[in-house]
Amino acid sequence: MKKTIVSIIIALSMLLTGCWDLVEPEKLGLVTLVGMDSSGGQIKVIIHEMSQQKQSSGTQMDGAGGATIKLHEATAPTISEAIQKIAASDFRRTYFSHVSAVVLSEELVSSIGITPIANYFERDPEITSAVWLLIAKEGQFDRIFSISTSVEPGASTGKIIEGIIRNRPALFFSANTMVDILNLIWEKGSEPYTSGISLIEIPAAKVKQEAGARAEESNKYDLIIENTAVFKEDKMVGWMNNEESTGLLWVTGKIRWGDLKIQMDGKDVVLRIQKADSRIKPLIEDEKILMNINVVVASDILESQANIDYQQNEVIDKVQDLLAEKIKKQIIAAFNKSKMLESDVFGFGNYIFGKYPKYWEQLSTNWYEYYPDIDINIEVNAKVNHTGLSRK
Amino acid sequence: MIKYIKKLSSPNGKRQTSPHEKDAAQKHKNGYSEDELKNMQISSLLIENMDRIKNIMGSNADIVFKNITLGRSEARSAVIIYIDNLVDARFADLLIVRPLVLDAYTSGLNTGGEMIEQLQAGNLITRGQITKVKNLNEFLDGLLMGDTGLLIEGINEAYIISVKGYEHRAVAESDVEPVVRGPREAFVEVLSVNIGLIRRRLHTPNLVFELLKIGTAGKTNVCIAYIKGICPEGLYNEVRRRLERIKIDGVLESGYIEELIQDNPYSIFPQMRNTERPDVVAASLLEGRAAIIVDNTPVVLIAPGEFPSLMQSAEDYYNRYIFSSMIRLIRYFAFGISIYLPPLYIAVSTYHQEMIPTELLTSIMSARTEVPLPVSAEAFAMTLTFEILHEAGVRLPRPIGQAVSIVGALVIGQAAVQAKIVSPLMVIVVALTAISMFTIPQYNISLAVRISRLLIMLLASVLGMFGIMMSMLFLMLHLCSLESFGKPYMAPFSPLRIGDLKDTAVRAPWWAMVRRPAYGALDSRRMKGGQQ
Repeated sequence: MKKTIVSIIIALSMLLTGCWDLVEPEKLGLVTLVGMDSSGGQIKVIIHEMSQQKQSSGTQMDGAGGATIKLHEATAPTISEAIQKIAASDFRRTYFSHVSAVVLSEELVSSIGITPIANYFERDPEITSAVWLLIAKEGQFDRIFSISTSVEPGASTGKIIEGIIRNRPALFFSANTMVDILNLIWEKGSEPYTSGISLIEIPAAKVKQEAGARAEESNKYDLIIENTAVFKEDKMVGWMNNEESTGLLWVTGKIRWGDLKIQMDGKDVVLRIQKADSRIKPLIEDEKILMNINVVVASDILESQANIDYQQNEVIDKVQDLLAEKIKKQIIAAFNKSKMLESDVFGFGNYIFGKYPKYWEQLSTNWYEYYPDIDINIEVNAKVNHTGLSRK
Repeated sequence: MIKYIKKLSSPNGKRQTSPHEKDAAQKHKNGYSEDELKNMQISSLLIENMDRIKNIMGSNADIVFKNITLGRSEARSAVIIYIDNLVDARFADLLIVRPLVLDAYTSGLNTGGEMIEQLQAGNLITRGQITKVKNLNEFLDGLLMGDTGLLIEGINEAYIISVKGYEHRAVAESDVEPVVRGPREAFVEVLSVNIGLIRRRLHTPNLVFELLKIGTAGKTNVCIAYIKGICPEGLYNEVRRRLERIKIDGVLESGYIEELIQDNPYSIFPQMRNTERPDVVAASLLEGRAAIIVDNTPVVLIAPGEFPSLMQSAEDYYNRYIFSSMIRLIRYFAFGISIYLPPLYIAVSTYHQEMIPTELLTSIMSARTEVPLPVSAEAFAMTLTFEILHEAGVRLPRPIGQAVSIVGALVIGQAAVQAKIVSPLMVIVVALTAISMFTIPQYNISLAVRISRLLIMLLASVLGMFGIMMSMLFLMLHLCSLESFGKPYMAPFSPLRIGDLKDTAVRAPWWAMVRRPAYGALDSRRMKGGQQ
């Protein structure tokens, strides 16, 4: 009897935590996009919150139901204060677990830096660190947040950004997630980088052509993700253009897929990159640092404006050589830019630390005095695997 | 006043009555105990026997006494006694009355003595099942079982001749365990028919049907069936021991016995398999199990009934093994759904919204915008409604049952959603849960599922995922701690026997199941010398 009572009491004690964190789903305000800007020395936080419309009753499934995006904005010395302010003015519970992207303004990351922001997201358990972190180009921040809701009515901008990064084949998408950026900050001898974002206006005439009657409201704007924001320590120092971004990604091995154009006898040939891998080996001889970069690329021929017979081995060899040449050029351009910006985005320092940890201790104190003198030796093993069904 | 009442209540108080007579009268009022009847030996005086029997059972409308005389000369009087509706009257007439009365004229037997001599030698009555009894208890037992009794003047024994014949349902198709492929026939309410159905499948002299009588008043025939040499001795001895310990007045269904002999009476999980299919019983006997067949019910118990055996359907063995394995996996999956889907929905949608993809979460949110109930209340309301419908559907006569399902579908499926009392997603969850539950072949497992689901829903709505994890832990601990007739309930998953896994969540092809399940079965080789 005593045993039963004791075991019941023990079992009941498990219920003591109660339902303290219970939230009914419909009372959530789903935040899909978070933005931060600097505003007079303070941090301005803007969120896109999805507010759920009543589901249209009955069988009609027109556009009446679905989400609308609400904008909330607050400025405070710290992020948490700003978010508190937003939460105080919101009758829903602002819920950050479904954030798909965080957009920071160029002004903010060049002045305050990225660490305090990443720090907040790292500590807050509600937001996942797998969100994309993008940098809004100068002057674009407010536009992105106020206008981007009309890119596609009903769709959240966060989802659009996620969709662009995931679904569009582009070789220059250097976007990193929060956790990637944190790792790059913490790693020895590497600097964080991520994509930039801007909003462009589509000329009205073109819109009319495309969308016909509904042109008035929608599709006037489009989000563009391009270029790479380069950081030093945690502050942004400059941009790489798309070519340089691709060069950077060849080295870091983050190319997923995309199309690359080469010139063949003065005509354009486009290759679809199917697979890319890179290996970096540092070599230090006589105080001279040499980085051996080995890139392996597999591609298919996607489009050819030149009238060439791809059945011939020599032609394929030539295409492969041209591809390797192009990749080499991009890598060198990226490396030159990184030398200019004094930012080791490639993480060369990290490779040296891995192979020569003692030597790195000497270098690390003033790494950027050595950095411009690094020699790089690029080897590209480019392959064309398929030429498609067309002979020419 | 009191004296006056006493006088009234004992009107024959002044009359002189013999102590014996008084005793008999008293007995008549209270009935006779078994021990008293056992002490009443059959006397060689017919008249005395008749007095006793009439005293005990004479007031019954259905008892028939037929006085006959044996022999043309030196006639000996005898009485044939039977209970009207339990005896095939045609048979009784043909096999008992005729040989004794009419055939005496053709057989050449003249005197009563000669006839009795022949009778005792077993010649006169050709019926196979004829036994001699010495005391009144056995005699009356026989009568009440549907046998015919024969009492003869001058012999202190009685004959019990079996000419049972009573109305019973014909062997029909199984309602509860239907199959697409496989034998259709199911047990009926008559023990002997059921035994025959099993015997027809296993023509081995080692197949044993041990008979026991359970119930002080009911005296129900209960049969333990097993195959000697396959079923371990410990098992059928244990089954017999447990059955013999039952002290109950009547057993009307095998459920009585199941509840009385199961290992863990407080568990919600059934620890014996029950079936109404003779092929299932035969298969179980071949696996070294014992079956308990109870008279007057088509439901046969199989012991031990560990969890994996409860998840099996007869058809798993008749269809090709690949398909059967897939179906079994689906069944286990459905078992999981039927317990955990509503709790998971509650926990995830109220505590762990980060686990839901954004698109799904927004559709849950928009579906719930006008629903007044919290998610957990919604879930409980829907589950309860389903339980009510389910019970009503089972209980109602079949023609009305259809109406219930229509009303249920309309009320729950559409009206409640349109009236914004529940969200459509909850309807999907509850419907899927209910359908999943019906994939479990054993009805009594699904009862356990229904109870545990409600408890886990409660835990989930208070503790979220943590509660579900707790419940899983508890459920696993509980299931693994159970035993059924010495066999661990989760065997062969826990304790793990890799060799036996071939017939659990998947069904190995017959040519790979060379051995019987390792637990129990004595002669472990199912196929001698393997399969070529």
